[in-house]
Amino acid sequence: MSAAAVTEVDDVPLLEVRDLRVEFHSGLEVVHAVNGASFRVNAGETAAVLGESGCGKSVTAASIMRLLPQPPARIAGGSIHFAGDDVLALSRRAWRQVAGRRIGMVFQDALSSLNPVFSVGWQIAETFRVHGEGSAAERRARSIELLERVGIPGAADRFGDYPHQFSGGMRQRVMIAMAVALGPRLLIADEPTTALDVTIQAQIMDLLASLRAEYGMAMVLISHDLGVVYEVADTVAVMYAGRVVESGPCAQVLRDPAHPYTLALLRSVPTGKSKAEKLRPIVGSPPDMARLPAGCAFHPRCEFAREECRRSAPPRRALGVTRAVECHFPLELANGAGV
Amino acid sequence: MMRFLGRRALHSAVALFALITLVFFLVRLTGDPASLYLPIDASIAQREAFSERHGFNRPVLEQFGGFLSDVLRGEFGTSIRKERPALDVVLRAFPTTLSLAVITMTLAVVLGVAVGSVAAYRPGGVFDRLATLSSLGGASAPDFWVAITGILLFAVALGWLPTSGTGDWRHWIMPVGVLLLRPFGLLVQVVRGAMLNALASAYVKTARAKGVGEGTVVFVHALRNSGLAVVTVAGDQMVGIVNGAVIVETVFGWPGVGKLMIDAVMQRDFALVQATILITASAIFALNILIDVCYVLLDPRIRRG
Amino acid sequence: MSRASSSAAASAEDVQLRRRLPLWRLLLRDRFALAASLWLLLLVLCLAFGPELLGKAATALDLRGRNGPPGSLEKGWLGVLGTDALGRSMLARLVVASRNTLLVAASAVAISLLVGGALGMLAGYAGGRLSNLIMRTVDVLQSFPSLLTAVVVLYVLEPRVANLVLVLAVTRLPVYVRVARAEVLEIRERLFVQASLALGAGRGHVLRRHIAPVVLPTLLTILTVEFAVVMLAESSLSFLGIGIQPPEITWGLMVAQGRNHLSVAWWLAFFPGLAIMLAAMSANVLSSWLRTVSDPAQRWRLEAPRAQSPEPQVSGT
Repeated sequence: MSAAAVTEVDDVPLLEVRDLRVEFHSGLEVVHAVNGASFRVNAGETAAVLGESGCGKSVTAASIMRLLPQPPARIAGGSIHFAGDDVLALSRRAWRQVAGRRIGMVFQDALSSLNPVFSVGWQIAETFRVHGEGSAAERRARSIELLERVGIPGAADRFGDYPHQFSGGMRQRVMIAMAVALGPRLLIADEPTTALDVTIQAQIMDLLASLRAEYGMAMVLISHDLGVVYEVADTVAVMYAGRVVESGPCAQVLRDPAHPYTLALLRSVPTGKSKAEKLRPIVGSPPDMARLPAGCAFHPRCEFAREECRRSAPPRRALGVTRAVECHFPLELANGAGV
Repeated sequence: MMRFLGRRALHSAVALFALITLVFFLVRLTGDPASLYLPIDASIAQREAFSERHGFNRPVLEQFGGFLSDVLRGEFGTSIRKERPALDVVLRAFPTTLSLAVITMTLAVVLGVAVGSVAAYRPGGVFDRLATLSSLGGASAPDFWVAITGILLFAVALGWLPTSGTGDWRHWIMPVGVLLLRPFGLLVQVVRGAMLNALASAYVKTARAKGVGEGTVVFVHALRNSGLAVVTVAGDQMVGIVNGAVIVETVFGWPGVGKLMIDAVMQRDFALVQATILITASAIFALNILIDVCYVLLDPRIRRG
Repeated sequence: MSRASSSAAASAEDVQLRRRLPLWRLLLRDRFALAASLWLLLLVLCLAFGPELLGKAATALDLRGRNGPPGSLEKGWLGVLGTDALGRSMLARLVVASRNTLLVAASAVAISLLVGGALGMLAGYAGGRLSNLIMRTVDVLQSFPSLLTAVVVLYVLEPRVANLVLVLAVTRLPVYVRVARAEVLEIRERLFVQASLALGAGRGHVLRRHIAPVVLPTLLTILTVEFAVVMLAESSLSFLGIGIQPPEITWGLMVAQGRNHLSVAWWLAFFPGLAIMLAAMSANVLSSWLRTVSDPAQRWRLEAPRAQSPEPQVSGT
């Protein structure tokens, strides 16, 4: 839900992804991992990108941070703007001023995302070192402070410890420390809690919330977990088959979906209300990103599909000021703000 | 760490013992050990006298005991050809081979790591292709042939380098150059492979996301993680260097342990052969322990168990 | 409507079929691997038919035409690589010697593969004391320079071909044992093995039908590299005089024989060595191709269409 610290709503969004297209060339086929995705994040806001595995959300995050290996990947179209700058057009040197300093990223599996042969303290201090902050002693002090801030007990002693000496939750805290070290304006969190136990998940999300409040950071949260998204996000972009099929304020979208896919997602989450509850998975399976169906990508699995859906790709329709959906026949909203 | 080393030392001792036992029994397999020690033209009487003296007609276990105590005292017998204790002869030749091996290996590691990392930095580029080609050559070219071709080209045809023997620095160029080829080629491939692996890993992504420059990513993050692979291969190659040294010393006429052994074999001087084997084996085992120490120092995960 | 969807379905199937390129197409994509395979094929032909076809030319003495340099066609095409100290055609001798050189290496490798693979699988599957024993023995074996081991053994046991093959096979055992054991350890815990055991299959059956087929491809990939290694080892031994003995002939022995005439007839030592190098190189190149092909993470480098020749570089930082 909205953090109390959400401040300015700029005219220029902090992050704007417009019609991003990313292809992977493997063998003879081309996988359209991201197929025209658009969303925006305002300063101080938490935007969630929600979707199943394979929908293109991680690739989108990697594109924003210019982490895609090209080849086999290729950014085939669209644009990414951060604070007005075209991210994809920046020189390597200019980009290095942004990565780590103005945008931080937290990855999913902290064990493989931390370098096993360097101490945790060294890796955090590296963020300072690379961006030319202070002397070695200062960097060390600040790193220890960070470790304390993210909740690692006995931080000074643990500075020299190695990643494998920490538990999963602790490692994730270290990753977060590295990402927020220089007080970035935007934090991208790619499934930060997926690899963790539920109880640790909550702790990590709380940590992220408090850091966001303290630094006034915006956050892009990539997740497939509806519960986490509902708790934390201001806005949500629901992705399917490489496109954003619905977007808008999180509470509204998740309580009152306009896209059949969002509805199906919500229905598939067990409510735990009755013992005899039947699971309602979404019929069918996610599309093969190399052979997308003609027309609307979701139509083979959609219970409301009609002729039109097979024939042509659905247009993007605005639903009121803040919501949008890509569907020929979006669902009726509770407040009647329809097409 | 000490426990680890202690265990390794024990393993090596066992291995050495196994080797000694093997040599012992292998020799007695042939039926007439005396004929291995003595020159071909030794008379029957001489053979019998020899057998008597060394107790080849005593029970096997008694012989083994005697053999072991001899070995432990450094008593490998007397070299027929040199007419000196075999151990002396071997130890005299040892430093030559050792210096050859150390210089070669050091060069191989330094050059291999350098070339391999630069190749990984720009995969598919010119440097990478050159590196791959040279590795292939190193792994495929018979060292004796390269040595001979080298002599043909640089000594006979061009006259730049001497054909054989030891002496000043010029005498070192071809032997080291030939000996280098295989370990260098292999190290380049290994370093390149390990680096490419490292460069595709998640922690490198994290580093890039932090804004770390590509140079640091390659030569600090990735390289450090390749350290283990390098040490492993370099260690293995030390064993192979001995093989190569045999050839190189033979072709270039260097008075090292390798040449000593081949000559000893050709001249049926078994005491010398035996001494060479055992001394070389001990050196190699000691080296392996050294490598293990490096292992532990390089990878923190091993250190803490 | 139906037209659009049926053609969409048809082209989808097309992509499905074309998605995995067959092995031989991948071979064509890699020019070096292709050249290597062709060369090896040529060698196989030489070893199969060479001695019969060129045997006479390889032994025919011609003392007037001895030490003839290469490049001249005086003796016909047989003299194109020169003649040796007894006037015999180098080319013919090379072809005839290919049989011994390659067969010794091949037999040694085959024995290593079978014995080493079996031992490794046994060690991996049985575990415990047996595994320990096998691995310690392998350790000892591997920790000693193979050349020296071979030298000692051949000194003591006489350099006959059988002994040579045996020594070569034994000194290269460790690689197969280690790899086979590692693979088995990994597969042993996989569900399909557990399932098979749960269904009552005996351990031998499981080893043969389930584990071996998975271990074999890895071992075969190693085999190509090992072939080169063993060939070089035999050549070294023959060069030193402890390997194949005359009148049998291998390329290594030819180099040794040519060494005595180095200043007079360089080609006597040069061409046999070159032959060894080319054969070893082909095996190594082929091995590298095999490894790329069998590793799904690397296979794309070969599968990508030629126009997009992969120059993998990471963009961004």
